[in-house]
Amino acid sequence: MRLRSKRAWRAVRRAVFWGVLGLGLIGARPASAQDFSGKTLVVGVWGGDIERLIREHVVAALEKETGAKVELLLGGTGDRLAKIYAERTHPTMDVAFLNIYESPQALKDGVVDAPDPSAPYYKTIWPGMNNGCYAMSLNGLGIAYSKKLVTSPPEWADMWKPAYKGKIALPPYPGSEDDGVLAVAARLAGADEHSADKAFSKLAELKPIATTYTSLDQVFGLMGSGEVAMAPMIGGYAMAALKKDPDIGFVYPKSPGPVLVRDMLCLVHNSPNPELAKKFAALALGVELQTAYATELYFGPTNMNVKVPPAMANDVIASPEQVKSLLTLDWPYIITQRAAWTDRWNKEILGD
Amino acid sequence: MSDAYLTIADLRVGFASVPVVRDVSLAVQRGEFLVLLGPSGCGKSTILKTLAGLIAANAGTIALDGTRLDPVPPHRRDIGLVFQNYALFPHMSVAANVRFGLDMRGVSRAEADSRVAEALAMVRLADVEYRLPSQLSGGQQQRVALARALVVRPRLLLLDEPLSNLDAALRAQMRFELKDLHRRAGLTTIMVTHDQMEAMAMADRIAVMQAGAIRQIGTPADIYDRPGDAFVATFVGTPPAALLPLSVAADGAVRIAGLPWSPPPAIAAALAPGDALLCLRPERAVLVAPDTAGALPARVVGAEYFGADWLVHVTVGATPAIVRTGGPAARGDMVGVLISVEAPLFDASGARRIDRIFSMS
Amino acid sequence: MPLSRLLPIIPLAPACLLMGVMFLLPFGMVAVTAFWGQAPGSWLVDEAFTTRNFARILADPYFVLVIGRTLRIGVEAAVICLLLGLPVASVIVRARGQVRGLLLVLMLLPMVCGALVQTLGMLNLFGLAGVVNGALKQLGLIDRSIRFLGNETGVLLGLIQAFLPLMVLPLVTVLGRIPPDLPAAAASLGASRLRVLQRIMLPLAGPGIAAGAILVFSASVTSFVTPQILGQGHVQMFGPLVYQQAALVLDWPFASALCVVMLAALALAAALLAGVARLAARPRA
Ligand SMILES: Nc1ncnc2c1ncn2[C@@H]1O[C@H](COP(=O)(O)OP(=O)(O)O)[C@@H](O)[C@H]1O
Ligand SMILES: [Mg+2]
Repeated sequence: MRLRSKRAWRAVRRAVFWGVLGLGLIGARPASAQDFSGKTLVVGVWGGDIERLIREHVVAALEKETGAKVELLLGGTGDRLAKIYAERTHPTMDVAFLNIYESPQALKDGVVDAPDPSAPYYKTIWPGMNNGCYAMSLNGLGIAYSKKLVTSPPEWADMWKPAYKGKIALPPYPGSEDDGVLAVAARLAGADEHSADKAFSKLAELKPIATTYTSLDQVFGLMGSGEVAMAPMIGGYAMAALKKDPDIGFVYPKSPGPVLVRDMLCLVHNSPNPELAKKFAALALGVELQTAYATELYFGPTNMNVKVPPAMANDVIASPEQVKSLLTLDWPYIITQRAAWTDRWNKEILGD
Repeated sequence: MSDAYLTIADLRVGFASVPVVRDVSLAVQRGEFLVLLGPSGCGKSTILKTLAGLIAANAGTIALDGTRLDPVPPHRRDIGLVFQNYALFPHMSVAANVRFGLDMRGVSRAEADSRVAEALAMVRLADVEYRLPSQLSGGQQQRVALARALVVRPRLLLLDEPLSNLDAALRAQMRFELKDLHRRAGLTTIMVTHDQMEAMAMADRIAVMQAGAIRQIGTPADIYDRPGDAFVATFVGTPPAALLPLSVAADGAVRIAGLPWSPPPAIAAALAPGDALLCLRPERAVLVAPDTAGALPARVVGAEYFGADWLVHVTVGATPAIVRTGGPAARGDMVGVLISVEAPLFDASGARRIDRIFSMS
Repeated sequence: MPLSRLLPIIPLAPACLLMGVMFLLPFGMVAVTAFWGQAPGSWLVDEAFTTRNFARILADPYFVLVIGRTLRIGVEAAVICLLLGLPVASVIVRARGQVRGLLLVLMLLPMVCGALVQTLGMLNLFGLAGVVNGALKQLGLIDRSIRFLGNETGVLLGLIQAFLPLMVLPLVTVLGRIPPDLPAAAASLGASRLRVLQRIMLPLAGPGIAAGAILVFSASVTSFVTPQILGQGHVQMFGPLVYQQAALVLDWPFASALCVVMLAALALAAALLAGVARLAARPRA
């Protein structure tokens, strides 16, 4: 009896042990598809205001909802592209913010996933904007100008006036601003961005370029001192900065209309956390963050449902008419010309 | 004085207004070997560097062979200086070091070759001419420095403690060689040392310095036998002489180091009332029985054996003294110290020798 | 090999490993990538061996020009830093104790701040809207800003300002190790100041001069921030060129090839300088 009971006790203990272990193993599996605790979503994005708004309006909510952690890898698009191209077979990044001229190429090279027309957040974006990836913000390339030197809001052609010779500043090439300026120059010469020769020879008429500017403060300072009259600039950045400075103006020109530039939200192909990435995209493309982008950064929302306050209507691209007035470039073509145009820019625009 | 080869008059040198050389005057004869002797830090190197033009004097004049040196820049003075640490050029071979001064003087290649070889032979270094200084022993480096200074046949040779970095055996040998070299080359030489034995052995004349001033100039025998003051008396001689305070009362009673003493009649006759310092050299006294007439009362505190002789340490009253003897003495013994040869007597401050010399005889 | 002979090498292992991982490995990767290409119309690297990148560099006078200009500016920066650094280092070496430490810290301060801060400082000082132009305008001496920057002189100024410490530090080290008695001995042997400098000081400072020159030269030819900001697009140099190709054009193989060409030029220059230094330091018979 004693022996039997001992053996029985041992059997019970063994059963309990395995049972508990088994339950534990089952318990360790996600209880449902919605529980992402222990996962980390990696998002490559610009630092500064954009990072701050994404933290406030997306990261907090996503972490709360899913239990996952969101890691923002800050840097420029060059860093992100280098990473997702290099890790093509085993990506560690889930979401990457790119520029409009980069996203179609990234899709073509298969490092990002094509936008999914059936996704709910696809449908709220202005039609025709999701090139390569999802359109995150709408921005126009316009002209920042010194009100002291340029008395009324200029048109593109005014940059070529003799009075402003040597007083036009440009950012470093390559970048969407300079590509936009080339496309505008081509149009002023009666062609478009597919005629590189016309674009470059027209733009070269602006030489000497006053300075290659690497920060807005720098170029605004030069406008203040009268050394720079005009500088092509992306609306959102310019608007936010010039509200502090009454002597500097910004205009979206009309002929041709402002060049449409966009930040794009890309889902990395084969990313480790595709479900989380989609949830992130839904929040980032949702009304809350897009509204914050518009009101705080003057970035035009891509989400049609965002209502921009009437006071900001002129500064932020948001209405269907404004969107329609934008000049859309053949970015996939431009990107194939990048290496060649870089060489030409170095020699023909900056060289002596 | 005026016919001297080198004349230094009222030389004053200071660093940042701290005086280092105070009103030094000195005359050196052509071909003479003069030694500047003094404790380290007394300004000996400073005098040499001032002579070489490497340090500017604050006051005073220097004349060599009838011309003023003061306005002449160092590289035109034609004075050979052998530095205390040799200052060999580390990136040049021995031969290149020696040749340097000849190159600067534009001496022809052939002549330079033969003079370098000659100089190296003179210092017995012909076999190491292609080595770097770092590959030489201290003694060899010293000789390279010497050859480098000699080869240009300077008007004046200055040696700054040339033997101080050598071991005892090499030092003794180099001492002799240096003196021999001087005899052969006949160069007017000023050598600096803080080693009084070296000074005695090598100098034609010694200038004893203290705190930037010359205390006495004279032949080694002058300095040793007739020291001008108590500093010179104690600085020259090893082991150093003892200074015993002596007082003579008006009634003729004599006390030495506080103890009553009845000096031998010859000494007693030479004494006058007042205080003085008696200079007791170890080798100019003998130990005798305590009750010997005229002996100083002393107590043995220890003895050192040196083979050839003993150094017996005693105290006279509270004043320590040393006596060189032929045999040992037991610690604690009472002994008498008998002054065997003439001993100098200084005034109570030690600044002046009292020109009355007394002795046993 | 017996263990006892290996033992002294073991402490070196971490440093060797670090060098291997941090320097040789990436360099090897750059060297390999330089012989790859990109498929037409794609940023994907095509790992088929090609010398196309090198052919493009050598065939286009622009790249040769930029590399040539970069090397020339590097040499100019090194020479000017040497001329400015020698007196500065001599003063520091002659200073005593605390003053010497203070001077060294002052000398190093700009380095601690980093290239960006220094360059922005230069911009604020010498820019078209900078302090100097502002002052000149206030004084009524000029009515349009003088272009100090945006040309080679401006970039050179910035490089010298940024990298002078790289020259002064090794000079202070070598000059500080020359006993003051050596120049004195040379003078007493008949050497004028010029001859002392030429025969004693310069040969003995040779390794420091070579080290400083190589440091300033290398730092200048690889610098990015200074030419980017002070050059203002008008003075293209190697650093911004590679950045442009790698981070903006995204042509990594081509950027790698540019690096390889530059490294080859650097190695050549370093070997040349080292040879000159060895020649100068050779004991004379
Ligand atoms: N360059 C100098 N700056 C300041 N004081 C010095 C300098 N050289 C020597 N002295 C001081 O001058 C005094 C004499 O020095 P020195 O001539 O070298 O003495 P010696 O050679 O007799 O040992 C010393 O107190 C020394 O500290
Ligand atoms: Mg000395």
